[in-house]
Amino acid sequence: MEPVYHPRFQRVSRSRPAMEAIRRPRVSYWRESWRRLRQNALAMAGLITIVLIAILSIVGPMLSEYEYNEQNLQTGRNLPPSAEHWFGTDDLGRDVFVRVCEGGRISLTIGLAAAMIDMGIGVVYGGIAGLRGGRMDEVMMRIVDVLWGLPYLLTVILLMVILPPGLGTIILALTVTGWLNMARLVRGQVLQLKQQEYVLAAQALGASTSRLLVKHLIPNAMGPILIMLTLTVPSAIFAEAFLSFLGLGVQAPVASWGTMINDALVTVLSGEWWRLFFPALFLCLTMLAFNAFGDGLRDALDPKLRK
Amino acid sequence: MLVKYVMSRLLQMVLTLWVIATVTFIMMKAIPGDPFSNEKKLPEEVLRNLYAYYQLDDPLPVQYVHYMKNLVLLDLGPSFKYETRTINEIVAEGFPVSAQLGAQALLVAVVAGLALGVLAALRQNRLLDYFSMLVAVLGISVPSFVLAPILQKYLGVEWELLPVATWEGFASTVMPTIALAAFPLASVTRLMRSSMVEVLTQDYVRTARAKGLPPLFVIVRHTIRNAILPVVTVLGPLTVGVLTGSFVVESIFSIPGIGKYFVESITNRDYPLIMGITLFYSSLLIIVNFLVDLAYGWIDPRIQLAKGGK
Repeated sequence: MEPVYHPRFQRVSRSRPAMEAIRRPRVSYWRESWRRLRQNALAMAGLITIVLIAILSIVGPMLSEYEYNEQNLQTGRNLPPSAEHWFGTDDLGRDVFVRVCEGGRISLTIGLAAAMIDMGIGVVYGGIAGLRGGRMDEVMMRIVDVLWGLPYLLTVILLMVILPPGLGTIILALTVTGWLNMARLVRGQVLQLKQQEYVLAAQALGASTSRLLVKHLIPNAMGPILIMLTLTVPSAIFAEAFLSFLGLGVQAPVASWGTMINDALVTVLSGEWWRLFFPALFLCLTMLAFNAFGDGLRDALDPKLRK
Repeated sequence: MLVKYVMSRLLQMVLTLWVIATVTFIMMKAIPGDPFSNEKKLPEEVLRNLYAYYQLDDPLPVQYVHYMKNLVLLDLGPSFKYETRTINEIVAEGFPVSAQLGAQALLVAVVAGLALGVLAALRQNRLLDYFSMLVAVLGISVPSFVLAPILQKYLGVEWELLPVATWEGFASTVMPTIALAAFPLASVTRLMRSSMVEVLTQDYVRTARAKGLPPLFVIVRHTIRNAILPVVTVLGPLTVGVLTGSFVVESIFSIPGIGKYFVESITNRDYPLIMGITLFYSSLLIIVNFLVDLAYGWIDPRIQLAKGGK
């Protein structure tokens, strides 16, 4: 046959001994997924953006000589961006760059903490319900169904109104009903996986419930759990910004992207665009990055779901 | 089977409502103060009369029964701040406005989202596809409270095309509707696109084309009709999103709807009003979700409702 020369085809070199070998280096599930993820430009851009925003949030305040709550009422109010104040200053003369970084710390902390706690509760609850089955599963899932009906943000608002303000309160309020998603997901996964022979084998060898969960079921359900975890982060960040925008989130003078945007609403008329632009840009970028990364992760971890 | 499913869903709905109502009651009692110990000092006798009138001097279990009875009779009680008005009056006044805005936003989101999704799927990896995916990505990552001031600044202040913050006539509803519709529009577009892409590869679509049916007919009758089903399921969550979004959008555009009252009541710490509106909206959403579930089973006979709930 004529050799094909075409830019879209490339010759694969073959070596006889390698073809004859019975074993090839194993490509694990995670290595394979990582390879797929790396080829997804959008997902990698998301990942890099997340890392950059995280670094900026941590390092940013150290680079600047200003403090996030340092006011300058005499000469420093509503200054446009300059070498001195990179993102300008707000109506109290506070440096917007430092405040955006502070807001980033809070948003990322809340996003990650809420997602991790949701995962913790959801995995244990859903795992037990799925594994035990029967009456116990029935009761546990009925409870989930009833709580599922509660509108997420309304519940969070209600809790925030009652509880004393603070970072811990926000995380608590976000996780009170946030874990339901994860619990449903894990239960479904466990129900599927427990039909597998290796679970039966482990049971026959006398493995306890907790050992089954930790050693067999959860590691095998890790893909969907990770995807859900990644996609929970932007919704938690959004919820925090939403709460802070309503005045229910972190309290002044602590900076949050939501409060900064709310404070900057007056600038629509007065024209200090930087006060709205920078916090809004960082909020949108963060949500975009997490969503893109989460979507990419879904494609990479579960090629069957790819659409 | 259907009757049994509807009954169990109804029971579940009532349970959820009861949980919300009980939690709001406990919260209201947990907060120090009551509607009348707020600002101005009332004479002792007047206060006692008011307490007796609103039954605030009863033991808590009696109050709870009374509160639940009022709720069943759809009475949400008095407000702290607007002393002459009950929460029912505030809801009755604000809800038509919120409902109009919400319905407009949902309509725009569903119609435009479906259209964009269908076109994107038919023109995969072409310019139109990339455009609609861009819309989808932006809609999901730009919160309404960021989009709203941007719209105000450009469409309202700089170019003076639309009124910035009033509620008079159709023109004033355009910006709030866009701000509110952006997120659901993005979700519908994404969902419709992926659903269309999947249905387009089905055998029956190929068969329909192979037997020479006109392309438009195949797209409308065989593809869209099947692809639209998943979109129906998200109508419930989308309504939730529009409702919660309306809180910020209404207060940014100063629209006299429930959302604006809600945000004000949060700033004023007007607890009965917060609780009342939360309760009202929660009930509304729970009922919407219930109806969507039923509608889904009706639209798609393949779904067995009895199993769908689990």
